Amino acid sequence: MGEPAAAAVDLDDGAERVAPGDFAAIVRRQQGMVFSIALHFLRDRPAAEELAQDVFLELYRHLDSLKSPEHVTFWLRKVTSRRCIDYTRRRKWSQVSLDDVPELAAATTARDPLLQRMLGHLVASLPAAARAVVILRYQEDLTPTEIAEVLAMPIATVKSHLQRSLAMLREKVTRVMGDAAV
Amino acid sequence: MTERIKNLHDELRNTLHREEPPAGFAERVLNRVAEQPVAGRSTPGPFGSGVTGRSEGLFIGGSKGRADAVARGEARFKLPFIQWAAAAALVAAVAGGFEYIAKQEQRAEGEAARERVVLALHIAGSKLQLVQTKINRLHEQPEKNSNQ
Repeated sequence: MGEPAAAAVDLDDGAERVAPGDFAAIVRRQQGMVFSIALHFLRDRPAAEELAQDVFLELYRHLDSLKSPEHVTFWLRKVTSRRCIDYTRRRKWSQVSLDDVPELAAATTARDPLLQRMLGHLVASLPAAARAVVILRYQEDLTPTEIAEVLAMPIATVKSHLQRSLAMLREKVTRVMGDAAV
Repeated sequence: MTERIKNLHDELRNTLHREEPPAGFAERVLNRVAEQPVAGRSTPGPFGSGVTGRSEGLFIGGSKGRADAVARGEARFKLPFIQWAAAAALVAAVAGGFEYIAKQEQRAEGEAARERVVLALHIAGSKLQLVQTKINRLHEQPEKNSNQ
């Protein structure tokens, strides 16, 4: 996603690490990514902000072990996704089934805010693992291979989650908004 | 159909776009980092003052932030030693307690055994005295009879 390069330092042992002095800069640079993953996952702003803050606190504790800015980005995606999945599984009772998502009035224009709102709800109603796959695919623009690495799952599982999720989303949106919608 | 698929992909990208968190998010994160528990700095640990250089400049600007960062750096290196020292002291205290209890039990058993031996000696002594008395009486009676 075109991350600006962050500073890395050479230590005495020759290993390259992210400079701890850059922590504040890392937070400012990556806050949008972390917060958005949490927000799209949870559909709850206060919960998303708290989860994002927890992720950065964990990052602060692990900063010594991260080797490069790319490693930091990978780590943040992985930890945020894992925390979102854990959070959702702990609060399974609050999940909304796909069929329970309120059906909006038909609207067929592209870039329709109603359609986007409905899609947001539908994505948030997917099972946790599938939701993480879809968010990393469309928010972070990761390939299935990269998603498999971030979520530590087989690439076949990632593809399967993507196909099934897209089929469900398309079916639901088409049912509500008609063929022209998607 | 391809066009529809493309539309769904596009709509998902539009829906799942990145969004900045509420204003002040980064400051709240940095405040939470600063509020994390820090071990006391007054007493230097056995490994000296610790390696703090890498934590300096964690917060851009402000000496207080830098001082906090230095303190956290020291805490990172001191905390494991303090934990180990506390664990070792606890283990030593528990082991000492067990040893004290075992010694007390041994002493009590020894005293009870000594009392039993003393009692046995008393009994044996009194029996011997009784036998001695009887023997003396037996010796005295024939002498009386012969005198008569």
